[in-house]
Amino acid sequence: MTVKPSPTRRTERFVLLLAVVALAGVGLYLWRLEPEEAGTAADILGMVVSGIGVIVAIMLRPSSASDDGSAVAVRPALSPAQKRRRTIFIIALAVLLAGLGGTIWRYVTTSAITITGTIQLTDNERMGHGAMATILLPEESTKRRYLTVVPVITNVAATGDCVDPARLVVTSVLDGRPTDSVVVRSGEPARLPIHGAARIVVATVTVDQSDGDPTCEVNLQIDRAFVHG
Amino acid sequence: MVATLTAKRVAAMLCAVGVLSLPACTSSEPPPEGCTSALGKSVINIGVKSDQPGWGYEENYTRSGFDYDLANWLANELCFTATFVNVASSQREDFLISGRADLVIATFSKTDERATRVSFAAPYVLNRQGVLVRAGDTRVTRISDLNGLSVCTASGTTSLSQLEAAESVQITTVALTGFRECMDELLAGRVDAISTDQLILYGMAQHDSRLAVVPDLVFGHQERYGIGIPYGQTEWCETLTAAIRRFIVSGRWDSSFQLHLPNVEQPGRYRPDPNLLDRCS
Repeated sequence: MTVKPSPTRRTERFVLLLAVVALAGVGLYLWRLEPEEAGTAADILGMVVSGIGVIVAIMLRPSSASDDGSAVAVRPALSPAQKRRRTIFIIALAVLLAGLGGTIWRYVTTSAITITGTIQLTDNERMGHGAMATILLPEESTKRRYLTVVPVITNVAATGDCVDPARLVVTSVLDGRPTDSVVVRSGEPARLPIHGAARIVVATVTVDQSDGDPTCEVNLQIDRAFVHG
Repeated sequence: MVATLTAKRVAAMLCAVGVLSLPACTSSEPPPEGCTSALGKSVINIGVKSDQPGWGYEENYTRSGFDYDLANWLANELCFTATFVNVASSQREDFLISGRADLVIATFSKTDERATRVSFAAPYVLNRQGVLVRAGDTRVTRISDLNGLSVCTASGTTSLSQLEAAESVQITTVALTGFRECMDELLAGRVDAISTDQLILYGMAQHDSRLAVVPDLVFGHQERYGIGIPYGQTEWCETLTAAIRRFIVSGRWDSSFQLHLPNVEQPGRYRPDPNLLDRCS
């Protein structure tokens, strides 16, 4: 004979299933995110985790009714085995919540800050071979360890093959001191360490046409810029 | 044998009178049995020039030139039958967009502007714009010497844009359909010079000794010839770029260049570095 679970137990299982589906959904959402969107995701994740915590707390509340729904005055004493299981469960839950809290904290302190709209770009027009443009980053950039910029160039003339063959040398300059450089093509992200800067972070972009047409002139724009890590 | 030749001549004559709805004017040798086309089609229509000696030229129903060699080499290397269709400079993009040609190998310079409408496997040749005059005409040695002269070029080319953009030079530009017409105009004395890619001019001068390339006069952007492909055909682009690399590395580039443009000094200046070909995206 099969014992059917009580309506209360069925509700709890349904709520638990919903919580698992919600967690899976959030996980999938986070996985698909662009790095600079992770800050927003941390808020969403925090809210979902808080909600799940409340649900779990409700499920673990001291019962005032028996499984069949009849009122009881006193909660029956737990057997030693039940006590052990409950202790293990509470410890596991505490570890899980601590881990999630740590993840949220990490997101909050390292999440990407989009600075595309606040950078100042100079000397970025009609750039010939060897020309250098400067990107002045906002002060909040010093709060993160890495800079990612996506430089994009366009040919100023109707003729010439200037974009594909060009290499762009992106260099970070921390408090007036050039540090690291990476070489990318137009439209590719350049990632540079910027930790250690006290106040001013600048990046320079130098156009290198030595593999292409040295007579080319291009305009440079920054498609995306964010600091992170 | 006679029947084959007759068929080829009839096909060529039909092409010459513009019956381009025919699948092909001429064809390459079919690939050996069991060889599967790397482009996914057994027959590929290729747009080629017919009026550029040394590059894509047709005379007495026979084609020749560096571009024609490259097309035949690709057909053999990538296992397809190439059918050749004459294409004018101004038609190259339209042929790819409309599907009348699967590929265009016709001194087709890759530019950022063209790359928004068609794709390129490139570059297979590098050069710059130069000037062709009648042999013995010493009036032009610098770009500024073109001031007040009439210069012919083909419509739909980068040469026309670059002539118009040439700084501080007042030139009367004459844009005609093809370079055969420009050569006729120059030889008849109705224009003073022809300006286009220097290597095309060397081909013309080699074909007719009454013409001469002005030495050491180049201007404008670097012209980077590419194989034109319908827009967004990334797989074809990658396959063809890899083939161009083999064409250069194997020495076929040098032998074909020497064969068709024997008078050009230092061919290596025009040969791209096989490790620096453009990416396909």
